[in-house]
Amino acid sequence: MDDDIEWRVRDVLANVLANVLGSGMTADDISADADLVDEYGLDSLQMIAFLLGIEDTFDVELDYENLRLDHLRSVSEFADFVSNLRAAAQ
Amino acid sequence: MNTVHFGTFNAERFWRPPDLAELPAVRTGGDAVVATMDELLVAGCASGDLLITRRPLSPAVQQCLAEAEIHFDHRSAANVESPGNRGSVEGHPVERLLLGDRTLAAHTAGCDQVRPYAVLPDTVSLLTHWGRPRQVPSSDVVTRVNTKTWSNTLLQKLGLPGCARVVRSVDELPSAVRDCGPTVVVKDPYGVSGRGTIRISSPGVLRAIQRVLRRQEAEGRRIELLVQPEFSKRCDFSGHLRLDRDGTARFLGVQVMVNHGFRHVGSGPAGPELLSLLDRHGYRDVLAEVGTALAAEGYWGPVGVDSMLLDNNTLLPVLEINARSSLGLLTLLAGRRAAHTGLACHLWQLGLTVGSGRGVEDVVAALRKAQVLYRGGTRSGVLVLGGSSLSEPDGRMYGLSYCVPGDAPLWQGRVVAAVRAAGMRPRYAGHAA
Repeated sequence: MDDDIEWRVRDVLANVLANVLGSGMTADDISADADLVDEYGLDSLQMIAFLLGIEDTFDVELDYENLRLDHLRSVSEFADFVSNLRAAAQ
Repeated sequence: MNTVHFGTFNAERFWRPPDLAELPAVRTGGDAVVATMDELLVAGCASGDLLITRRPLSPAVQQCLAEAEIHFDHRSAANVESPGNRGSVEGHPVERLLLGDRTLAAHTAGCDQVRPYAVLPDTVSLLTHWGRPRQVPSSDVVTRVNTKTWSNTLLQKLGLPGCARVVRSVDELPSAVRDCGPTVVVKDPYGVSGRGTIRISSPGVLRAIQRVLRRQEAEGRRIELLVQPEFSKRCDFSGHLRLDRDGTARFLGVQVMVNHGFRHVGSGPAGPELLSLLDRHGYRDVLAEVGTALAAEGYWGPVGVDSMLLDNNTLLPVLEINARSSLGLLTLLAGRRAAHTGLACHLWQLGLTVGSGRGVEDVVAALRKAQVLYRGGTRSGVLVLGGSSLSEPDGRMYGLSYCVPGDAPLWQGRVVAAVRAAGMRPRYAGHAA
């Protein structure tokens, strides 16, 4: 898995947390394996901001109707997911 | 005068027309939390009132309430089968479930009045079944006046600041966003507490939203969205009225709201500085005009007007009108009941991660051990409201702090420390500052 993708996912998350919660977190402060909901308290509103940020950053399209977040709870899981999406699009 | 309290807190979901396109959204559960928010109605209960909730109240919470000298009659819709309804009962308005309880009509007959949280078509059906067919306004009227589009039209008519631009096609969206920029929010007309509100922070986010909407537009769904600048705010607050059936508006008070992002996490009484500023700006006159407009549409009942004070001291007196009860109103009513104590009343919520087999009883036990529970009277403390949905792995619960004005953050901190000491992990906490 591409470390650069993981770092950019962390950066998107840090931006969402900064906008929504006014936190001073940077991408370096975010753990790759921490649970987005459990550790960072992302609710549905913040999650959608995060997902839109992911689409924008990686130029991928998410299928919101069928998106299941049960197995996308950490930065590293998201990074894998984005890598697969980009591979499928090429 | 005793009252029946019941209701569905996600009323907007049932008011929303099915042909309306939706902004991108994720389903992260939380239905159980919203379904059991009717337990918060206890905040508005007076002695002799009847509270009807979807689930039974936790005995530990009931004991807390009794110790705080809050007494009421209680029934729940537990185990009531609602014929013809498929799927999870939590997906239905509680009123639909209560229709299946044959004993309830008789049980409520002795009450003088009904106070549903919001009026849905199911509310009207239930009250008709109880022999109270005209005790609430028509659900068509309520549905209409609860759209942000209706609020926005009234804003334009009254010449008030803070109007949004209404967009009715995907193609109109980019120019509306450009005109309102640089940072813009787009809102669903039936969005509530942040659900259905998205910040457009980049061209890529706008493109993603357009793509999701265009697919729905192609399927024949209607586009109706409000676009407005994201305001740089100093504080959010809400003004509360009760509109009588003859159109008389009674001003109830002002609550300061604490929001994380666009989501409501707590509320409490407005301080003297804000109240004085609102008096200078004629805020109550604006609320009276809102009341007149709602009465002209045929609405009566509780009204909450969401308002904002900007960083530059500009007042936006009407951002949104809620023609229903609200968390702010419930906090205000709880505060009134405690007014004789001299304590201020603040609503807070707590997101918690809990282990297997743990729930609201453990939270109550933790607060009891920390000696922070409110016991009525003039000594500060906290009160747990409901929380029956709190279970592994995580959930949300609500409570009230009764404290010296200005001490709400201190009591919030004590709650967090107490649950942490009991081995539960707070994920977020919100209170009215």
